[in-house]
Amino acid sequence: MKQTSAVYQLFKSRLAIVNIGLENLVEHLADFPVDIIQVDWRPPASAKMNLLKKIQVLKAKQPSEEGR
Amino acid sequence: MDMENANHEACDRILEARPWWTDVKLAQDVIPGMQKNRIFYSGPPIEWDRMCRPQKAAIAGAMMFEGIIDDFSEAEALIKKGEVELDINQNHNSIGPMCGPISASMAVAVIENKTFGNFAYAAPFNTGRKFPMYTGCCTAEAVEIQRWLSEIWAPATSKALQAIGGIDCRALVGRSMLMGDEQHNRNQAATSLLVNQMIGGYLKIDLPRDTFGELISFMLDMVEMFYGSPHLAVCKAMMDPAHNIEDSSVVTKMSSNGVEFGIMVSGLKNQWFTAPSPKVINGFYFPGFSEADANPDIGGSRIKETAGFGGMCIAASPAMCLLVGGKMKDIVKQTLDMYEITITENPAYQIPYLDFRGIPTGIDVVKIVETGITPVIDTAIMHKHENFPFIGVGLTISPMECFEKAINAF
Repeated sequence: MKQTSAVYQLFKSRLAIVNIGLENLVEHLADFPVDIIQVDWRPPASAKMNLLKKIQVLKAKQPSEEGR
Repeated sequence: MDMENANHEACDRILEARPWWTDVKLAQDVIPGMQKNRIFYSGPPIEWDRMCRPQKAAIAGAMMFEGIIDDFSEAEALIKKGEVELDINQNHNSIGPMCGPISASMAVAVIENKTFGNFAYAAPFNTGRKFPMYTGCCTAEAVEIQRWLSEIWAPATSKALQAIGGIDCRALVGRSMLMGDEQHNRNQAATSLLVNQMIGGYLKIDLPRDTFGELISFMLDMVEMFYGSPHLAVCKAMMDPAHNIEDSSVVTKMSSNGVEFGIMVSGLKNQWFTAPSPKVINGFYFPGFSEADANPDIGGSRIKETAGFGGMCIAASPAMCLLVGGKMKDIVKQTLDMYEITITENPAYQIPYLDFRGIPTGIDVVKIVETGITPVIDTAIMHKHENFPFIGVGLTISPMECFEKAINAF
């Protein structure tokens, strides 16, 4: 009951929307009296922790480690 | 060398490239390993039984052109007996559009990278929408137009190129990009600039008036994208010196055989990393055709994106909005995404709409896997059966699986 009331209060107040990622979601809200903050973000690669770890190792590799 | 320095070395070699179109020759006279009983096609390598239908037909067309067979149905037996050998263009410094069939008697563009002294060869030439052998046409007409290219067009064009000292393709392409070309699906400006120069060459040699008219009308009137094929070898000549740099994660080859899409990476020797060929998306189909008719992505021309052209710099070509759908902001976004997965920019080829930024250059498998963005390719769409010209244009999102496999191979 308490939760329902909190949600109700939220929608009675002036909305401030933070949109993360796809911009076209907020384009449709531009005509409404809401504050919008757009955050430029995209999900990290679907990868694959093992690939990201491998990349870290590759980037850290120094010529001296190879004796070259 | 560490990866960062290796990548800078690879990119420097791409930026320093000075590709010139110096000659037109028959394949057997210039392409290493070319023989009368060999046909080369667009890689990655694939066995005959797994090839898509138009790829088989394109190879059969080349065999018909060489007088080895009279009909598509005769091709398979000779190939299975080993009397005709198949190999991929990429093993022979050569490259071709779509199916990319190249045979011994075919006319090829000879491109020299004057900075490093390496050569690349491209064929077949664009023969318009009527009879392109490279889309899998194995008809008498397709053979006849190849014969005209080899017997009439090639000798005259060779002399004309000698007469004008060749064509500086870096200058030509740089100018054409300021006129709205992205060099894959749109190269009308480059073709016009090319024909301007070729007219000068043809006028300097002893040529019957009728032949002169025939040559010019072929290049200009019939085929407004004539520069498309030579530009394949331009890109290959730019990219080959960047290959085989130890520790470099720069992509040096991308190509699709219609069944598998493959890449090579500079620091990973001559290993192909493949994934199933994706569908072409955002397709604009010519009347009478639809997605149901389309073959999956195919073509050696992905070398253009590898060098930074086509889908990588599509914002250079506002007209492409009309072909691949969307608005200017969409193709700008697509190009900006490509800067996220490349190491540098090539100032020789500028994008006016982006305040003359150089095209995105040096596709990096590390950046691709980190960002989840893969190269976008601007492509023609091929019919899944033989004897059709291309049936539309669209975009291919290159498959992430290839790039992940490459990272795993380091």
